[in-house]
Order: sequence, then C-alpha cells, then structure tokens
Amino acid sequence: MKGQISTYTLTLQWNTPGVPEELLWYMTAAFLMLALFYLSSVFYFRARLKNKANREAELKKDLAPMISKFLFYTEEDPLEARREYVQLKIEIRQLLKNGLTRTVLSEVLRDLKKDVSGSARNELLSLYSDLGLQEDAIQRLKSRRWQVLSKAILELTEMEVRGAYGLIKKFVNHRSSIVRKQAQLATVSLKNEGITYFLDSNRYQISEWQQLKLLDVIRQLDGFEAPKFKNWLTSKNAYVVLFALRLIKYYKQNDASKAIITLLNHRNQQIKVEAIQCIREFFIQDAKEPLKVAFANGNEEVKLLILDTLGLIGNTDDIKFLQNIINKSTTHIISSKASSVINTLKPETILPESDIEPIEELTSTPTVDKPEEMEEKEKEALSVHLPKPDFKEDPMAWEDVLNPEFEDEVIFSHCCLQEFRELIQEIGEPLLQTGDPGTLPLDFLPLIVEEQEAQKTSESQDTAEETIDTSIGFKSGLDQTLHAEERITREIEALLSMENEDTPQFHEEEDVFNLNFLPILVDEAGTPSVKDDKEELDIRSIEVIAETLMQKVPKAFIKANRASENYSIQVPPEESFEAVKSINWASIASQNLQLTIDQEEDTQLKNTSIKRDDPYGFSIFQELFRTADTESKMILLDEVLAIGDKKELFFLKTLSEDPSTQVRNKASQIHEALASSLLQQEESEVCETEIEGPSIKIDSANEDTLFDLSFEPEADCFQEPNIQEEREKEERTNPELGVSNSAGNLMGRFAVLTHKIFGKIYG
Amino acid sequence: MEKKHLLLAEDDELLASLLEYRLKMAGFEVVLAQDGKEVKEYLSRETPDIIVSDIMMPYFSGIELVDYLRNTLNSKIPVIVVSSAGNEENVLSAFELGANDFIAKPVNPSELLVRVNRELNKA
Repeated sequence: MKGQISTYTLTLQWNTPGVPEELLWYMTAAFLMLALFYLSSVFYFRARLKNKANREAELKKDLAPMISKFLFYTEEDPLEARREYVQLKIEIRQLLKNGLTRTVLSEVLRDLKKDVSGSARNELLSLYSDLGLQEDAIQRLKSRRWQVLSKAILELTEMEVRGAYGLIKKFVNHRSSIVRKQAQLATVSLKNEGITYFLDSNRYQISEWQQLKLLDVIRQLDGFEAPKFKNWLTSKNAYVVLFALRLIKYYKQNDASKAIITLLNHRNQQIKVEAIQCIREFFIQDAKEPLKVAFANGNEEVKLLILDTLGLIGNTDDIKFLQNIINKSTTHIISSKASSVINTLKPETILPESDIEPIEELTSTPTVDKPEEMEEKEKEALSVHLPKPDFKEDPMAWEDVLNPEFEDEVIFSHCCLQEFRELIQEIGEPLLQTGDPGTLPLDFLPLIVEEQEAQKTSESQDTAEETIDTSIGFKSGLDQTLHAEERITREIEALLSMENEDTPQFHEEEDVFNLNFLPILVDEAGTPSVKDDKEELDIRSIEVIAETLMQKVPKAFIKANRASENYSIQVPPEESFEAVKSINWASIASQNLQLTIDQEEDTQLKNTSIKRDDPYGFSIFQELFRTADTESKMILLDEVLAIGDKKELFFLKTLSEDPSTQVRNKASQIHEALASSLLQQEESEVCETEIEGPSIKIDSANEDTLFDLSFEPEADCFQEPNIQEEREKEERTNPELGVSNSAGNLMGRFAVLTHKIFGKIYG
Repeated sequence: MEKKHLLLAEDDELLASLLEYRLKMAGFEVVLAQDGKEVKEYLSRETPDIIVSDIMMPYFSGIELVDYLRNTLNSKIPVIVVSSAGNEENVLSAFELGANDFIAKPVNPSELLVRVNRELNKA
C-alpha cells in the first residue's frame, strides 16, 4: 500500500514542463530545417556522385577508342592515320589537364591491363608512362593516410613504374601492415634486387600468406636471378630465415648444407621443420647425426619428420638408434614411425606381434581337415568367439571344442555350467555320479525333435524303439527328465502329505490311463531306501515306479517326436536317450523324499519348490519389475497371484528387499496366497485321474505300457492352458473333487504324473 | 572484297571497344552485343560469319549461346569463346556443345585475330 501511494504521488508530480509555446515552435522549425538540410545534402551528394559516375562513364567511352588508337598505332600506318594519332595526342594532353580525366584514364588503363596481354599490354604500360600518369601516384606516396599510400603503391606496382622503386622501398617497414605488405610486394616485383633489399631490411614478421604472395611475385619476374638465399640464414629475424629456407628449397640451392644442419638446433620448431625439409630435398648425408641429436629437442612434428628423413637418408647403422626410440618412446605414433623406418631401412626386421596366437595353440589344432569340417569351423569361429575352455573343469578336450558336434557343450560350459552345478548340488550327488558327465540340464533350451523321424516312429513303434533317431538335444532331454523328476518328487511329496492312506479305489471305466504295471508295484517291495517305517511301503513303490518310468521314458520320447518345433541344438539321439536313461530316478526320488520327510509338510513343500526353481531367468515378472514403478509393481503383484506358479515364489521372496514398503507387504501377502493356492492346485491335480483330458486318449487295446497312448495331435493339442482351464472348470463344477479324490488315490496321482511328463515332452 | 561479319559478345565495354577497334582494323565488320539478349536479337535478324563471345555474360551465357546456336538454330557459325583462366569446366562444356575455339583472358588481340581468321578459313 505504501509503495502504491508513493507511486501515485510520483505520477501526480509529473506535469508538463513549463516551456513557453514560442520556444516550442522555434524548436520545431529548427528540427524541420535540420531535417531538410540533411535530406537535401543527401540528395546533393548522391546527385554529385551520380554525375561523377556518369561523367566517368562518358569519359571512359570517349577515352576507350582513343586508347585503342594509341595502343594499335604503328609507324607503318598510313600518313592519314599518323596525322590522326598526333591530333589525338594533343587532344588527350588537353584532357589530362583535368584531374578527373587523369584519374579516369589511369583507371581505364589499369582495367585494360588486366584484360589484355601481349604487345597491347606493353603499349598500355608505356602509354601510362608517356602520359605522366605515374606522377599522380608518386605524389600520393607523400600522403599520411595509409589507404592513399597503399593505393598509390598498388597503382605504381600494377603499372610497373620501376622508377618508383626507390620511393616505395622505404615503406617496407611501415608501421601500417597493409602499407608494409604492399610495399614489400612492390619492392620485390619492381626490381629483381628488390628481394635482396627486402630480406636485408625486413624487421617485421612475414606471414605465411605474404610469403606465398612474395614467392608468386618472384616466380613471375622476368629474368629473375635468385640470389644465394643462404646469406639470409644468419638473419636475426626468424621469419627471414624461414622464408630464406623456403626459397633455398624452391630454387634448389644446395650449397648451404652446413647452415641448414646448424638450423636443426634452432629454437624455432618451424625453422627446424623447414631445415629438415631442406635436408630431405638435398639428401644431405652429413645431417644424419645432427638429426639424431635434434630428435631429443623436437616436438612431435619434428620427431616424425626426422624419423621420416632417417628412413630416406639413413642406413642399417641407424637401426640401433631407431630401436632405442621404440624402447623409450611413450608416444605410440613415434614408436610406430620408428618401427616403420626400421623396416624401410631393413625390410621385415620388425614383424607383427600384437594379437598373434602362440605357436603352441596353432600346432595343437588339426592340420588336415576335411573341407566341410573346415568350413564349419570357420563358421563357428566367425559366429561365436568363445574363450578357451578351462581344462581343469571341463573334461572336453580342445579338439572337441573345435568339433562342431560339441559346440553346444562348449556354449553350455561357458554359459550355464556353474548354474548347473549348483542345481546338481541341490538335487543330489547321485545324478552327477550316475549320469554322464557330459549331460547337463538346460531348462531354458527347447525340446528338439525331428519331424521325419517322429513320423517313422509313429509308423513302427518296435523298430523305433531300437533305432531311436530322435534328435533330442541331450541337454534338453535331460531337462525334460529333470522336470519329470521334479514332478515325481512333488507327487511323492503330495502323496506323503495325504492323511488318508487307504488303497486307492480305481475304477477301470473311469481311468484315464491303463496302468498295467500296478501289480509290479505291489510285488516289488524289497527296495530299502527310506528309513521311515511308516512310509516304507509307499516309498518302495515309488522307487519301483521311478525305475519303470526310466525304462518307459524312451517310448515317451518316441511319442514326443510327433511334435515338431524349431530346433536350435541338435544332439545325437543316442546321447539323449542315454542321458535320460542314466538318471537314477529312484535315487533322486528317494533322496528328495527323504528331504521332505525331515521337514514339516507345508513348509517343506514350499521350500523344495523354491529351491528347485531357478529364481532368475524363469519368472517373467523379474524383468518387468526391474523397470516398473511402485504402482506398476502393485499391479504386477496382482498378476503374479493370478497367473503365477512356483517360479514366482522365489521371486516374491526376493521382493522382501524391495525399497517400497507397500511392495514388500503386498509381496509377502501374495507369496502366502500363491503358496497356498499352489498347494491347493497340486492337491486338486490328483483329481484329474478321474478327469479325461481333452487331447489325451487311452488306447485300451494296447495294455503293455504306461506311455502307449494314441496321441492325436490337434491344432491346439499343445496348448497346456486349455488343459489347465479344463481342470479349473472341473474343479469349479465339482469343488470337492480335489479333496475327496486326493485322499490316497495313488494311481490317480500317477496318472497325473504321466500326464505331466507328456505335457513337458510336448513343450 | 566483302567484309566478314563478326558478332562480338562482351559485357566489358573497355575490352569490347579495344577488341572492336582491333578487329575493325583487321577488316571485319564488327557488331557489339553487351549481353545475351542483344545477341539473340541480332541472331534473329542477321547471320554473322563468326561469333566471338565471352562465356560470362548477363542473361545469356556463352555456353547457352553455343547451345542455342547448335541445337535451336541448327547453325554452324563458328564460335570462339572467351573466358578467364581457370574456368576450365565452362570451357569444356562449351566445347562439348559445339564451340569451335577458345581464347583465355587476358586476351591478346593479335592472337584473337589469328584464331578468328583460322576459323573463317576452316568454314
């Protein structure tokens, strides 16, 4: 408010000044007059300049034919022409009394000089001189204005007024650089000895451009005899020395070797460079040692130039010096140059060293290869640059690595070996002991089956059993077996968790699978593997089941051949079969069972699930969480609950370290909910023994094996979610199914197990 | 003896005047044209025996003139192009379009005269 008041006060105080009205009128009139004066003067000067230009143009028009007549007049012309010429001379003399005409005539002659050559040009110059036009320019040399001086010098230089040389040369060291440069050019161009005077007397620096212009002027001088420029190598002006060196090089005056060598030690690096250039130009052998001495004090440009010059004038005696440079120099470009100079002096003295493989490795590779193998190896080498395998850890030989057959093993050994070992430790030592050391679990690799072979096997089951030609990557195969093994374990765990231990009621008409091996389970009761007496019977049975499974798996693979997928890894089928067969199912099952018995049932199921699931690379939510904000994470957590499985359990656990409290709390809630829902799901899966799957039919006619199923692949037969949906639908329609039927229905669980194995086989 | 008609196309008045004088001295009937328009006008009315044309001209360059003569008028009038040194590309273009000769600036009037006579003799 205070400020506003004061503003108003100030505003009110601003009143029109009390100027008399008459004074205002006078001032207005004065300004108008000034404006008129300004405008009129502009128009006047403009008109004057225009008039002058017009007059000049007219004069040029008048003078041009006159000049032409003067130029092309000869003594041989007829008498009439000669009379005309004399008349013209008188006329032009009259005209030249006018200053403007003189100026215009000078301009015309100078312009014409640029456009004509030959005798006409010479005539022009003599006309200029005859008419005494140079006197005006010489008069202007007395001016103190640098632009007038400069123009006058330029005019005299252009019209080649040699008489003005003495007047112009004193401007060589003029304080004005423009006058000085113009005077230098004039001095050099007007007389041949002008360069001598200039080099002797110049006290200022000579720019590179000026040096070029001077050199151009000297080159165009008629009958120019170059003085001994070595005389100026002793000049105190470094620029004179530099220019002299360039002139020495240009005029190839090679009689100044000693002076040039001395200049190698000049403080000015540019002079050093020019001296070295002269040494190169004149091939001065005596300069070798001084060059070596000068090397120490030179900059990089000088050093490189010295090395280059040594390469040109040096010999093998200088290699030691160059070697020394290579050893001591910290600059790559210098040492590289020295190397190249050594090779110039003595070819192939220094051979390539970097990135050259040791000879031992080269000799270890097979020397003679088939062309196909060589091509494959080349492809391999181009596609994947694998590090050398660790021979201590990897049983494969380096020769095997080179063999394309084992390329997957190589990749695996470098990518997943560590993870595999951790996994093995979790699963148990038996796998490592009984399994092929080369067999490795690659959960992430797809199942590989050849379509053609699958057709063959479907046609003839017996022959296919003998000649299992399914090209399953053994890692993938093992992956399948491991998953199957996991599921067996889970099923066993589920079985153990059941309270009802009654013998399962299995109605033949309701069975999904024809489980013909059931009597075997009853008969095989002598396998001691589990300590707990309470569970002994079931455990023994499970071991037998596992062994049976081990035998039946190949057949499952045969069935699996019907599924064709994209394959990235091809492994001989024998290996895959062996890999699957080599797994000690019973041992794995019993060991896992033992683990589960030792712990509480609920927590045990969660923990084993979590342990066996690889937390990274499996949960799709992990990647999403990395970039998501808190809100997105909350939404994703809901999704985890909706679609998550055991893989997500571990991931949810890792979220307990999330910086957001909201996420942490929700993650723990989701974890619990998911764990319980998974438990329920597993229990409910038992009920599926009574539910016929949509794409799996039991071939009742063939009762030999568990896996002899007439599998008819449909368009959507590999869609596992459909099966899940069916299950869920069944559960919804019959919610008690899971509970009631899960009570000790061993056969039902086994059917589910086989179903799962099939599911896994078909991806 | 009938005088030969020479069309001199040059925008520099001084040089044009100088060359005109020299060519007239040599017995040519010289017609001066300051730019391309004047050249075209003249060519629509008259047919010179030879043309000396600067390459760099207002409205209508020497190259265009050669092109106009050879491709539009289908004329075989000898053309000598005049150009400053270092204008190699234009000169080559002029030759490709059908120019008969070339003379560089600064022009030696005596040399020009020799070339003009040579071209007329060829024709």
